[in-house]
Amino acid sequence: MSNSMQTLENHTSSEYKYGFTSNIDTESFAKGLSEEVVRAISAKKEEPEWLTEWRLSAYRRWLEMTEPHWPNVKYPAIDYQDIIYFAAPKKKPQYESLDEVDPELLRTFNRLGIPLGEQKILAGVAVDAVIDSVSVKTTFTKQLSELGIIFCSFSEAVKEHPDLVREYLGSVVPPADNYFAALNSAVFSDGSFVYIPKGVRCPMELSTYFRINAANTGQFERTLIIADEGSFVSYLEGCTAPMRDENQLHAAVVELISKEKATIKYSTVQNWYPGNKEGKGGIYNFVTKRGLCDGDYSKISWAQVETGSAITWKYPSCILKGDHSVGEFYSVAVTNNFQQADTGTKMIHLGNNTRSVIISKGISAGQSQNSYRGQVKVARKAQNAHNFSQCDSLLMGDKCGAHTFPYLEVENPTARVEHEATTSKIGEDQLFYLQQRGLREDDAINMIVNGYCKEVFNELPMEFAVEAQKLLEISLEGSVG
Amino acid sequence: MAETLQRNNTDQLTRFSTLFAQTEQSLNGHSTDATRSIRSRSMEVLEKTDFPNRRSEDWKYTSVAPLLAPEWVLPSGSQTAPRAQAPGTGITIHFQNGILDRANSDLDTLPEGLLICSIEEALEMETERDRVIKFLEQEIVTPENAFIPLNGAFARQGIYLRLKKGVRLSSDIHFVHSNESTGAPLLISPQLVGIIESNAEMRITETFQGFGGTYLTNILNRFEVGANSHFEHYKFQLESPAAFQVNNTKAYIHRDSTFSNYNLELGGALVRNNVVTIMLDSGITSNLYGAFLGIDRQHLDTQTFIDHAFPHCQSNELYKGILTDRAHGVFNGKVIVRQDAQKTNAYQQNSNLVLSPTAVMDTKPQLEIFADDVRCSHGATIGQLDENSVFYLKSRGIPDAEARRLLQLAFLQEVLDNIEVEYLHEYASDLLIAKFEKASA
Amino acid sequence: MLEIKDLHVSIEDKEILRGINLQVNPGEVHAIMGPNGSGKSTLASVLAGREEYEVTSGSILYNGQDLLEMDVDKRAHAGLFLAFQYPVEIPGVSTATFLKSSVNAVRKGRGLEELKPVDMLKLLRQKAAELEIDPKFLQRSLNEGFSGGEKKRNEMLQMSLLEPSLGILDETDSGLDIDALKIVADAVNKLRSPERSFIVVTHYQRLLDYIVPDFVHVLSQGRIVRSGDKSLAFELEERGYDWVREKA
Repeated sequence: MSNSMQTLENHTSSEYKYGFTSNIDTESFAKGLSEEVVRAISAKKEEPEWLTEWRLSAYRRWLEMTEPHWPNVKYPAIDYQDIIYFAAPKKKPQYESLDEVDPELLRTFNRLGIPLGEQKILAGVAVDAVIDSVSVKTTFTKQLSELGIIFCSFSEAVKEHPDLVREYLGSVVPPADNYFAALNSAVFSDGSFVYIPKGVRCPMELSTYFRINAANTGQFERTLIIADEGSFVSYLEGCTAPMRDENQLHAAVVELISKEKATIKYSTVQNWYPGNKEGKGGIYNFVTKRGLCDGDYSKISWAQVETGSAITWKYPSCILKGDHSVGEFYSVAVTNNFQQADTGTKMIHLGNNTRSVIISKGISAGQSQNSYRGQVKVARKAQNAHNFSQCDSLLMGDKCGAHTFPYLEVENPTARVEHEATTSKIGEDQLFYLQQRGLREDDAINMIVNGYCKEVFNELPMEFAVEAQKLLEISLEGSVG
Repeated sequence: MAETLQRNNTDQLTRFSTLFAQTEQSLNGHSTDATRSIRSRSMEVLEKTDFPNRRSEDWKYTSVAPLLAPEWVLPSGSQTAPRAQAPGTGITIHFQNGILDRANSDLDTLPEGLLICSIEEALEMETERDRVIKFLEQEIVTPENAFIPLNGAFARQGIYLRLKKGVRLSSDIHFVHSNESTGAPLLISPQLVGIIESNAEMRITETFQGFGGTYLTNILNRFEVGANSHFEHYKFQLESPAAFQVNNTKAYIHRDSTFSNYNLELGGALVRNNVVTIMLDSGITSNLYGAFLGIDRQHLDTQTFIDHAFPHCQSNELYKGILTDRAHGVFNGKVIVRQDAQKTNAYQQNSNLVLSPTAVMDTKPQLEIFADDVRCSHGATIGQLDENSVFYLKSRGIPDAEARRLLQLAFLQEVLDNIEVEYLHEYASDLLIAKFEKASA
Repeated sequence: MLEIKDLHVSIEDKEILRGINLQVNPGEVHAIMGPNGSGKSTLASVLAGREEYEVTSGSILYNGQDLLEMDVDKRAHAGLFLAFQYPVEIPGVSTATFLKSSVNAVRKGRGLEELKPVDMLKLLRQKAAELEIDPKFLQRSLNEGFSGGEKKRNEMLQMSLLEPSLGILDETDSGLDIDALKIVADAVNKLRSPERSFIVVTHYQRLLDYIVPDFVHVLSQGRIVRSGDKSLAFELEERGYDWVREKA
């Protein structure tokens, strides 16, 4: 193997930075899943009767369903009785100020670089932090509530805003939508809830940081965001987990509802533990994310940078029901070592004059497999739908794979559907060229990768874009980081 | 005098055989052995080759039945259609129904390094004979479709062109075909064999102008582009409304050369184009550009094939079409990137506007990649005019019809903008505008 | 300037260069010609430091330094420039960004200060204009979707920005039409000076009508089989490469 190939390998084999565990006192259930466990979770969270029943009916549906195996990923069978379905930091998180927070927890968040402290007000990001399954801290609640914006943990929303939760929960992702959504509906523990009232433009980025800390636990959070008529919100989500040898399951559900002329921008930087270099351990990230563009001129924009998880299986989607509604999906998915990703989006055009854009950038390194799977569907009655899809794959090294599965289903002749796909290889040629022009190897690799991802990074909020860029450098650079 | 075919049965091949036998008899007196040999070889191959049907994937959307139904006769040299104009100044070679019109052609004033003559004449030249025979036979023995040996059997006075190595031609060459049938349906078989040697540069245009009647122009073009050369080939197709055209154009391209093919398809009732580029070495660029505008019941079909077999080659392909009334458009763009063709860049785009509910467009981009270090992209769109743009123009006082025409013209203009030669760009634009005027009349 | 002694180079155990000797003095232009597969491009690539080629024996001295010990980017800093036969495409990286990074990296490597953005912009514009390159071109992704001619002109732009002491042109003329060829040749001729040398690798004699070399070497089967002045190129054009194959 030549030196530049070796450099590429080095660059793509750095260590996970967030793999520490914290000694936070945790209360958790015994392993296993049954109606009793579902009831116990609901009871623990002091939920109303309707929600307990909702969970139970989802559980019963789940029992009848089988795990899907159509994604282009391979993993050993999951023993659903070997998972702890509820774990929470023991100290009941009811804080008036940060001084009361478990100092170990604070240290955890500091190590993660999450701006929890009031001193980070200047950062202008409101944060909800979810550790294992429970929301531990939401900042800026007061400032936001003055505008009528609700930003709180899901549990709190169930208690404080039961009507809103009851109206919208499961309205975009029905409990029996798919195997993992059904599982989540039965056992979800916490998550974030956002409501933006009519005509309000949320003045800051809302953000949730998810962290799996305890061993043997699954994380099943639920996010529900409702943007009422004419409102705007930009929401960020970040995820990390400690390094553990066993695989851990993360099966989340995210539902977005965008009313007339409302816009939701949802950005994710997913950096769950990907497993070690031999492919041992890591998070199974099986997530259902879907947004409903309910009203005319509504818009939902997904942006994701996926660098973590042993297996990623997610398709943030948009149902374009309102006339003139817009759906967007911008994705960078990086797989390294033995990671597997099967990710993409669905754009379902139902209303007239709807528009969707899909920009997907896959980067495969090591011996990883990276698949784009996307569906564009134009219903029979949807006049003048327009979709543009661009799916690019970048291969680093020659032991990895990239796959593209576009599904275009067009039932209305007035539709305009455009699909472009490219596959290219970052290799000795590009590196040699840049180096011959005087650039160092590391700078050359960064230049190539950042150039490739530029269209997606441009869609991320400023702060996140910087973070994403750094994360990418870390994921792909050993000698520097 | 036109030789009439006696229909003895329904088998088209038999009819062609009969026509062939009659023709050969009448030609016997003034035909060299070599040309006769190529014609009879072609006939033999044709007799063994089926005409394509719609079960074949490559002909799925185009039925050749209308091309085989008429009782074709061959044009006689004495028929004189009006003479069409060349797109610009340069060296002009005129044809009347596929027959070389020497009197009106610039064959006597060719520049240094350029040879243009009839294939018959080339076969009599010591220096050219062998390669003409080899080239033509090779093409006819294993044809891509039956129209190739059909051309070989009935072509008379095909054209041979050779540009010497290192020569850059300062004037363009225009082949102007004036086609017209005033009586029985005519089978017209133009043939062009072009050899461009190494380090040479030239540009040729072909204009097919119809002046009425039913006829089939069955074209066979074969080019060989030598190393480090540049060759541009333009085709302006303006056949009569009742006419048919089948075009088989193929280019073999050598190392470091650029081949550019431009197609403007405006006329004809049923037109089928096959454009094939074979890249024989590294460092080659192939550009295929096409624009078509179908009205009434026109059927315009283009099939392109780009074969990447060597590393470091590039192909760019852009075809755009507009279909209205009951017109039917077909685009089938095949690109193969073979395993050894690393570092290939292959771009293909086909975009179409379908303007009436009874117009149809079938598009099938086909990209098959067997190499792993390549940049390839393909895209296909079928859509309508953007009503927002129409509204915008109307809000600025432009009448509806005019606004639509402007936008359609702009749509196809993107293809023409790849024509870098000013007078040809202008010529193509003028032809388009004229067709739009006809469409809205 | 450059002294190559008994250079042997292999790729995957196949010997491509079999004992090359070449001395290039300041201000000289050497043309290297030969049939495909004779080792011309290998020689250019080894000089720039491409790693899949293994130097099995021999030495290369560049301005008194052991060139083979230097990293690729260090060779660039030391004034060695390779115009690539197939310039590489890098999507998403604008040509301007790349040129700025490259110029500053090379300046830094030569102990010079980085250029101020204003001065950099001025320099880019001026050099682009000299090569008849539209400034809009600088905003496009590096070499992506460029035609063959545009790529080669971009190589010449880089060469004139980096002001090398040894410019190596690897088949820069291949695939160019006459107009583009003249622009490339002009760029080289403008850079010719008593301190600066060039190695012009070409398959086609035509380039040497425009860049007149001091020496012509004919490479065949990994060896220089003939050397002479520019008349050798004409002789080669007349007689074809079979003639040198016989000689070898």
